[in-house]
Formats: sequence, structure tokens, C-alpha cells
Amino acid sequence: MIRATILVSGDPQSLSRGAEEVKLAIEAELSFYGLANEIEVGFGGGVTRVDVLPTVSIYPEGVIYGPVKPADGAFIVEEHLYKGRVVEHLLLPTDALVSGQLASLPAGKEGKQYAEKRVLLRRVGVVDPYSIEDYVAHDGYFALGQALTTMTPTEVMNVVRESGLQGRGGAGFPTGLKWSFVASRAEETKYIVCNADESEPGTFKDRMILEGDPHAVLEGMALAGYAVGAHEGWIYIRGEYVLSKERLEQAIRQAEELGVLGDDIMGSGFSFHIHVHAGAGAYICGEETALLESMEGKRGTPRIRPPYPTVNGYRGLPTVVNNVETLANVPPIVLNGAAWYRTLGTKRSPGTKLYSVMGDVNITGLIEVPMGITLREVVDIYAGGMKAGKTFKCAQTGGASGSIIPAALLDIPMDFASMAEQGASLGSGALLICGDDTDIVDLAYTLVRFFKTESCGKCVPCRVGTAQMLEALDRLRQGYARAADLARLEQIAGYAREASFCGLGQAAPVPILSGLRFFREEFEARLRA
Amino acid sequence: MGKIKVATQWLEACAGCHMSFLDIDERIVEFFKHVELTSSPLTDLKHPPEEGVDVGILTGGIGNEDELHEAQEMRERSKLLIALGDCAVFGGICTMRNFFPTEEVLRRGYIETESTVDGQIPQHEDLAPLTDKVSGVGDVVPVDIYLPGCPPTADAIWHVLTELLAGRMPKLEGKVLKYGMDGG
Amino acid sequence: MSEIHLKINDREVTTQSGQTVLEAAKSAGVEIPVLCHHPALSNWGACRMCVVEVEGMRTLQTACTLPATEGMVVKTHTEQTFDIRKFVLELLFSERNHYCMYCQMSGDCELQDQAYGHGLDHWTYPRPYEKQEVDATRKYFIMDHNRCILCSRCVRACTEIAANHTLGLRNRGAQTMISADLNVPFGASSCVECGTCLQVCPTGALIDARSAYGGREKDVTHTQTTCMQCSVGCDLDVVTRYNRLLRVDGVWDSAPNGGLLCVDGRFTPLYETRKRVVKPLVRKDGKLTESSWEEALGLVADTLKGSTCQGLAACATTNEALAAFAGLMTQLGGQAGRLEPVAPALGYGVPATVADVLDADFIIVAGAQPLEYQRVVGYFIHRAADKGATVAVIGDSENALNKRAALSVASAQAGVVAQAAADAEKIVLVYSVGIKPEVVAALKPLGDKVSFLALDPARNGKGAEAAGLKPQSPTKTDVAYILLGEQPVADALRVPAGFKVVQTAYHSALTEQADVVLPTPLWYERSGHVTTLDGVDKSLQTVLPAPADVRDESVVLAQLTALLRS
Repeated sequence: MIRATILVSGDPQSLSRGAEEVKLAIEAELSFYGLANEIEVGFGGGVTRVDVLPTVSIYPEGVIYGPVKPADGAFIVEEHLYKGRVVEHLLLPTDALVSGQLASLPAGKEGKQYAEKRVLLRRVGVVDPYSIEDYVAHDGYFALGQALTTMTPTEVMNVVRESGLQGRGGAGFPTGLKWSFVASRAEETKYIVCNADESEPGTFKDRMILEGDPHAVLEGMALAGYAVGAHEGWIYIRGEYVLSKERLEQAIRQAEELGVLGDDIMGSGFSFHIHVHAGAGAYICGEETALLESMEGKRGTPRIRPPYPTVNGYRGLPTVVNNVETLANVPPIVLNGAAWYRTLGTKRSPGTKLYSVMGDVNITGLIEVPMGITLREVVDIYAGGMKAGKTFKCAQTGGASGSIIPAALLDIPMDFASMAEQGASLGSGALLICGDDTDIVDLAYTLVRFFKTESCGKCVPCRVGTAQMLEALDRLRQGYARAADLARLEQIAGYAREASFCGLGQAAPVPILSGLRFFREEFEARLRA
Repeated sequence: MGKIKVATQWLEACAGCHMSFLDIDERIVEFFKHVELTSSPLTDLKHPPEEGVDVGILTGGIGNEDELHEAQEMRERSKLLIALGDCAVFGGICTMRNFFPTEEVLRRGYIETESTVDGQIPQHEDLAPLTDKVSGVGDVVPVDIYLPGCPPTADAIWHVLTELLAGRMPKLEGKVLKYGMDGG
Repeated sequence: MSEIHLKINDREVTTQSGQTVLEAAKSAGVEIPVLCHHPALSNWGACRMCVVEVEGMRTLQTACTLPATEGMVVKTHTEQTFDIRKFVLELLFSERNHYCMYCQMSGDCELQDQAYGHGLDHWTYPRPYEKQEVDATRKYFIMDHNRCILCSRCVRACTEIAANHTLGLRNRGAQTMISADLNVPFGASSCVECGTCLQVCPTGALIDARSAYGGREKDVTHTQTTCMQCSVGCDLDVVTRYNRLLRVDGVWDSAPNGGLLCVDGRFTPLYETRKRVVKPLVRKDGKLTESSWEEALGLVADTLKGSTCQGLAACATTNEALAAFAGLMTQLGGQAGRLEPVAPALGYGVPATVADVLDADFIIVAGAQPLEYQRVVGYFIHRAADKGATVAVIGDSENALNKRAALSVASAQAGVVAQAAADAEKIVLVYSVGIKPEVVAALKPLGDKVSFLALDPARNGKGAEAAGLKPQSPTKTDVAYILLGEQPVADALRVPAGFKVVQTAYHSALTEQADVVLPTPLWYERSGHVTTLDGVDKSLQTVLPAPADVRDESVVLAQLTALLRS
């Protein structure tokens, strides 16, 4: 008879901070007290805030401790599980942004939701990612059951369309619209592809979902498949995400055993199978057409568009390619309806958004906030403010569509449309917060170096342009560049943005262009007299 | 109006560009009605006059310290500088050595060549040290007009000079814009 | 297909649906610069030279990939497109060693042409590149990576036209390189040296070893003729200068091969090492001695008169020569036949053309080695396999096609193939002289569902067939007249006749036995016709003159006929 479950956070950050030792200490202590048969111990997802890891969650009470050291683990067993006393001094800090119980943020001012709003992360760090029972106990597969038994595929698609859900991979394309393109195709075979090749520098939002709540992605894919008439789904996962892959594969096995995936799901006659395909370390394969090429066993380079994947996708057939975060949004939308979803976020960009927050702030980690809150709120409230002695200089939103956001834009609502109006973008969801001592030229150099390394080499502006930009930035950093060199750098950056084949090449010059736009004097200060 | 003053100099080059200039044949008579050649590698005066010239013409790339100095001198003393020929424009045939370390190039050239017996790398204070890499004139000083070709044809050279005499900046296109021997 | 109307540079243009903007512009006489695009290859869109402005589109579009649509408004030459094109050229010139002055392609280089067209009179970008290797491990052509602009035309040619999949790209970004197989030297790779990549290379990266520095486009002569190396009959574009054969290219818009050639069509004839017969030879005192045509032909005519005679032709010459040969033999009342065997008739099925192989969904190869002897047909089979066709090989010896075959069985198991093919829609049976009777019988149930392509082992077998020449073995007659042309002969061929006349281009074991040897022209030294596998009569053009004492077989045979009448 199991009377309690202990989950030690088992994400890579926790493991690097000693989670394995904590778990061993807990197990040893349980044996010592003869509790091994009535209390089970496992790894769970992380709670997303790095500084409080590793955490130890104890159920059914739902008490969360963190950060926990091995000696603390033993102490928790003795006090909490043997003697039945909560160890107050080891409790997760009350501002640690964990689901429900611990949010103690300032009350929202009118029209704003300050408290971290957990839709996507509500189970992350709370449920055992290895347990489908846990997922089901937290409303899992309810949306799928509801859709299959009470809704037509078109109705499912319409709910998603009406919810206003936009793709979370960076471009913000309306998800329902994308689905309708595929649904309208006559081909018998269609595919759902989940883009889990999260490789943007500093981005780890998808990983937290995959590690902490893998079934949510599977359920979202099955719903997408039902809506557009696809019976097969693929998850293209970043090769380095070993833990995510292991948990996904386990989740798929469990779901098939339970009959919520596979043939004739829940007796509805609808069949949906999901496979996992691991990438091999190329950033470009996160670009959806390069991803499809890679899945087909070819060199991962972007395809000519049009035709788009909705027409000519995997194996030349209509394919929905959605990001992990996008798909994880689908079950709650189907379960709670479009109207509910629109209560979150802004009118133009409903819902919540995940940000991986890094840099010169007090609290780093993953946050889930309503669309449309400002960068200032993120920094001051969720990230606990700037580190002592630092003032905000700029933020870099991550990845292929990211940009530099200067202090002047601190109060712009963070949603797709508002950012676009300012010539900036949300990017992949990474927020690198830079203090005043950050060197913009060095920052641009680091980012361009990444793009140069990851360019696939197909088109000239990206392949050679990134090399030339890096060369010019290096000359600037070394102090050899003259005004003409800087002018040429700006020219190359502008042309490369205009002329590159895909989003990677178009994004590579953005650190230079937005750096020059907001911090030109820093570039000029490096010029040779 | 007095004659337009022109100075020429050859740097790391084969003299072919100057030969090609002479290929303008009888047009040279017309040319010198308007032009005074103050200095050139073919005449007694080798350096452009200190008071300066209207047009400086450089052929050849920059391969040693002397050539760098010559290029700087010509730039300083010319109102308008022409890089004439592939070597002056792109660095030319001598850039083949850019793929090897300078010592290796010297060793190969002066010691290892099959026809050399008891060779040695020449060293003397009068000999200018080689630059690491051969470059075009435009890589070391600002250039106003580039005329590529190995050599540029007499017609191309004539085109550039007559356009300048007519007070226009020459535009290179069609038969007068050719690389290598493609114009011939 | 429907008509589409669009506006290009303020001009109304009508085109067909499915055309790209590039094609529509070209049909309207507007040239848009390209580098990675090649009309014989799939669109790639990578060099960005062909960018155009399209009204209503946020960004510049590549004309080579953008489908033309109704009402589209396109501007092909604007300040912005010019700037982008010049930018691309500047980048390419900065990427690797593109010094034209020591490149053999200077004058014929697409990169250089574009640089001229965009007024690139000097380079402004730093050139931090390193020296790249030169791969000279292949016999006929060289890869100089320093000149490569990574347009991937060669990769696409290897993949799409030759279907050989040797070439690919390795590494990424600035480290990207053209690579053979898993990065082995080209000479050690799976390359079949068809040379298609060489023909599509826009720069001096792929260099033909023979014609390099041999002459620029403005210096050379092009002559179109027909390949005489096998029965397929590909069109050739032969490039010459100063009476010297420089290079052979494929002709893109020709049937059946569409520009694809093989090593035997493109390269090997230019590297011929056999000793040429350039004057008539008559055996005197046991030794072949140079003589005049009058003496040689007089001797042959005198010997033929009143003698029994067998004529044997290698089908390696023109229809005209073969017909004259058959006519002469008939006039003499002798036997006439061909040296090479023919593929047997099946008794069922309908004839296929070479192009039908490309559309087949099931290809049966029986008793034939197309990858050895009719290579273009072999490459077509590879292409069909790439498109999803099932390839089944029937035979009792090793076949190079086995690598790509789904099924490979011995003749005795041919029934298995018949069963596997039963449900296929377009079955093409490619066979040749090696097909066994039991295979013919086993495939019979497929009946007229089978389109068959009988590969003639001779170069102009169809021409011989038209002349009524059937396979014969040498018999004991007074005189044997052997029309050999350029065909090599097996050392083992023994001709028992008392007097042997050999009409040939090269010295061989057969000329060693001959009493009279008459020189013949080579494929590029003659005119006339050959009949291809598809039954099409194609003409040969005189590319270069033959040596003074070499006469066409048909001329010689006519002279001989006249001598015999007198």
C-alpha cells in the first residue's frame, strides 16, 4: 500500500545541482525507517525557476521543498514522512511561482493579470511525467475524449480558430487557419508534425513541457490529427533532448496501452499514432521545411516555398507543423472553449506565453505569463528585478526571429502584433536581460557567430554574408575598423536580411541592425580614429 | 589651360599594363597634346613631383614595404588615382603566394627551384621586406577609378583617359570591363 | 494548362500555368540573371541572383522558384534588385579564389559574365578565404574547390539527370563543400564519369582535362552529330578548334537522352589509343604494305571475281555504308551478315522507346547489362527507380543494376518476377542477347502488358536490320570481306576464308590476318545516318576532315561495285 509519493525534480538543471544525490539520500533514509514499501520515489519535472532547484514534492499533501541538499532530503524524510511535521525552513520560497498555492504576487491593477497564469505549466513540476495516471488525474485526455465523443473535426478546428491561438514558434501564424489549409486538402494521408527541435540560444520553454508534461503534447497532436484528418504524427525532437525523448517515448507507450493513442481511440473509430524522430544537432532543422527534409532522410536545408508544408509537407503530403507550446495549448482550449481562452492575454494575442528568462536579473528560469504584459513587469515582478548594482539596458528575445528590445520599449505590451509594430519580435520565447555593463558589439558578435556556425550553406547571403558580418564585427572589436567598414557592415546586414532564403539568414543580421538602431554610438565608439 | 599632369608607377607587376598603354599606338600623339607625363617607370623621373599631379596611375599590387610606400606617395600627390590592371585592382597573379607563408615562398623561389644550385635567400638593407600578403592598391589607399584586365586593352585604357580628358568620370561596361585576358 | 496573364516590367505577358516568373520573363524576352538555376535541373533558389520585385509581396522573390500567377505585377530590374545582385556577386568573389586571370574558364564563366553585367570593377569585401584542395583523381575532369560557388548544379545533375547520387554537400555554412560519396576522392568514388556535372558547372570548378585552356567559346566551333558508341544514339555537341577535337557536350533538348551522356559518349573516344589505319594496306611478301587505293581496290575486285565470298559487317557504321555493303554482297551472290548477335524476338508485348523506361513502374532487366553497354538506358532505369519504380534483374551473372534492384533472380526463377510484376501498370522489359528462352517463356503470362526494349549490342544494329543483315559466323569461302569500322574485335575471331579484306579504322588482331586493309573514317569524320534504338534515323555530321587517304565505306563500296561491273 503506497501512502505517499515523493517527486524529486529531475530536469537537467536539477540534476546538475545534485538531484540524483538528493534522491539517493531520500531512498536510503526511507529504507532506514522501513518506509520503502509504502512511499515511492521518482523524478519529476522541474518547477522552472532555476535558483530553487532541486525541489522535492510530497503528495498527496502537495508540499514542495526547495532548494534541497542531500542532507536536507534525509531530514525531510525523518521530519515530514516519519514524524509528520512539515519542515518550514526548507519550504519553497513563497514567491517561487509554483502553481496555485504559492503565487504571492502583487494583486493585478485594472485590466492586468499579475499573478503568473499557468495554463501550459499547470502540471509541470506537479505531476509525475512518467505516470499517465497522474496526467489523467489532472484533466488529462479529457479534451480528447470530449472531442471524439461530442464534437466533429470541424468543430474542433473552429474552437481553435475562434480561440485566436497563434503559433508559438516565433512567427505567430494563426493555428486554426493553418489547420484549415490541411483539413481542406483531399489527400487521404496527412501528417501532424510537432516541432520540438528547440535550438534557439537560451530557449528552453518546450523542453520544460516535454520533460514535465509530455502527455499534453501527445493530446494536442491527437486533437490536431482529429481536426484535420491525419492519422499519424511525428515529434521531431532536438537530438540533445535525451531526457525529453525518453519521457515522450514512455508517454507514447503508456497512451497506447491505455487506448488514448493508437487504433480506434476510446472506441471512437479515430486512429492516431505518434512517432519520435531525433534531430542530429543542426539548428536549421528547426526551420519547418528543413525539418521535413531531415525527417525524410535528406540534408536539412530549407525548401522552396510555396508550396508550403500544408500542401507539400512530409513525404510531399499535407502536413501541419506546430511548435510544442502551440500544441500544448490545444487541450485546454478544447476543454474550456474559445471564450475562456480569450479571457487570457490580449484581444489580438489571446492566451499565455512562456518565456525563458536569463541574464542580469535576480530570478532566472521559465515563466508563464499572459500575453500582453510588459517587459518591465517581467523584469521587475517575475524576474525579481535587476541584479544589485545593475540597471536595465536591453533585452534580447531569442532565436531566429528575435531582436534587441531597448529600455524605451519596456512598457510595450508583449504580444505578436504590438512587438511587430515596434519593429521588434517576441522570438522564440527567450528573454536575455542585459544590464548596463553589457557590450552591444560583443553581444552582436556572439549572436552572429551562432548564426554563422549554424547557417546551412544553401544560399549565398546567409552562407557568405554571416562570415563577412562576423569578420567585420571582429575588426570592429579589435579596433581596426574605420567608418567605411561600419558602413559596409550595415550594408551587408541590410542586404542579407533582404535576400536570404529562409528565416535563419534573414534573422542573422538582426542583432547588428537592431544594435545599430538603438545603440549606434557603441559601434561608433569602437572605430579606429 | 595648361596640360594635365599625369604620373604613373608600377608596383608588383610585369609591366604589361604599361605595354598595353603603349598599344594605343598613334593615339599617343593626340594624348600628349593634352597631357604632361611628369614621371613614370619608363622615364628618368620615377617619382611623382612633390607639388602633385592631376592623375596618378598605379599598376601592380602591393607586395612589399617599398610598394606600400610608393602607393601612399602616389595617393598623396594625386588628385585622382587610377588602379590600372588586375594586379592593382585585385592583387593579381602575385596573390598566388597568399596561400603560403612568406618564408616558404622565399625558400621555394630561391633555394628549392629545380634550376637553383647553392641558392640563398637574398638579404640586404636595400631590399624591401615582403608584406604578409599581396593585396590590391585599393586595400591600402583609397582609389578613385578601377580598370581591371590582364592587361586592360589599349582601347579600355584609351576610354578611361579620354573620358577623364573630357571631364567625365569613366563608366566601365561592355568591352572595356574585362578581367584577365578576356578583353583580348 | 491554362493561360496566365501577368505584367513584367510594365509589359503584358501571357504564359502557361505552372511556369515560373523566370520562364515567363524569358518567353517575353526579359533576361533575369541566374547562377544556381539551370533549365535542365530542378529549381534551387539559393544564389538569389534572380530576385525580382512583386507587387503586394513584402519581400523580394526569386524568379526561378516563384510560380507565375494571374494578375501578378513583376519588376525584374530595379535599383534594389541590382543592388542585391551585386551584393551576391561581391559575396561570391570574397568567398573563395575567383581570380579570373589564372582560370581556364575566363571568358566562358557565368560568374564572370554576371560580374561584368553588374559593373563589378573591383572588390570591396575582405577576402579571408583559405586555399581549397584540387581533386584531380578522376581521369577526365578535375574538381577545383577554389572556384566553386556551391550552386549545387553538379549535385542536382548527379542526382536528377544521372541518378547516380555520387555528389552531395558536406558540412554546413561557410564550411560547406561539394563532396563525393562519404567524402572520398572523386576518383575513388561511385562516380561513373558521365560528365553531366562538368557540363552544368557555371564556373571553373569542374575542369575538363582535355579542353582546358584549349579555346574560349568565341574561338571554337560547335557541330551537332550523333553518338556512335552504342545503339542508343544520343545527340552530341562536338567542340573543335583548329581541327582539334576539344570536348563533347550533351544536347539538352534532344531525344531520347535529353543531354545525358555517358563516359563512352563524352570522354573515351577522345582518348583513343589504338593505332589508326590511314592508308590502304596490301599484304606483300607476307607483310602489310602501304599502297594506293587503285592498287588495293583493283586487287580486291580481281580476287572477288568468280570467287565464293562472305561479307561480315560490324554494325558500327552508317546506314548508307551498311546498305551499300549488303547490296555489293547480293550482287556478288555471296552471303552477307553481321558479326554481332541480336536480341531474340519475344513473340508478345509491344515495343517500348527508351523514354518509356522513365515512366515505368516496373522494370524487368533480363540478359542485359545496360550500365555496361547502353549506359544511358541504365541511368534511365536508375531514374525510374528513384521515382519509385520497381527494378527486377533476371540473369545468371553479376549485373551492376543489382545494387538498385528490388528483386534479383537467376533465369530459372524468372517466374517470380512475372508474379511480382503482375499488378504493375507500366511494365518495361529491357533485354538483350543474354535473355534465356526459359525467361522469355516465364514472362509470357504478362503478355501485351509488357513494353519491351530490345537492346542491340551493336552500335547501329537497327541500320543493319534495315539492310537485311543477320548474324553469321565466319565460314570457309574464297574471300571474306569484313566491314569493321571502329569496332574492336575479339582476339579469338578467326576467319577461315582464303583471302581477307578488312575495312577498318584501327589496326587489330584482324588486320594482322588480313590480305587487304582499307582505312575508314571515324565517327566525327563522316556524314550519313544511323538508326537509333527507337528506330529514329539520325544524321552524322562531319566534324573534322578525315586524313587524306581515308575514304568513307560507302564511297569505297561504290567504287568497288563499279570496278566489279567493268
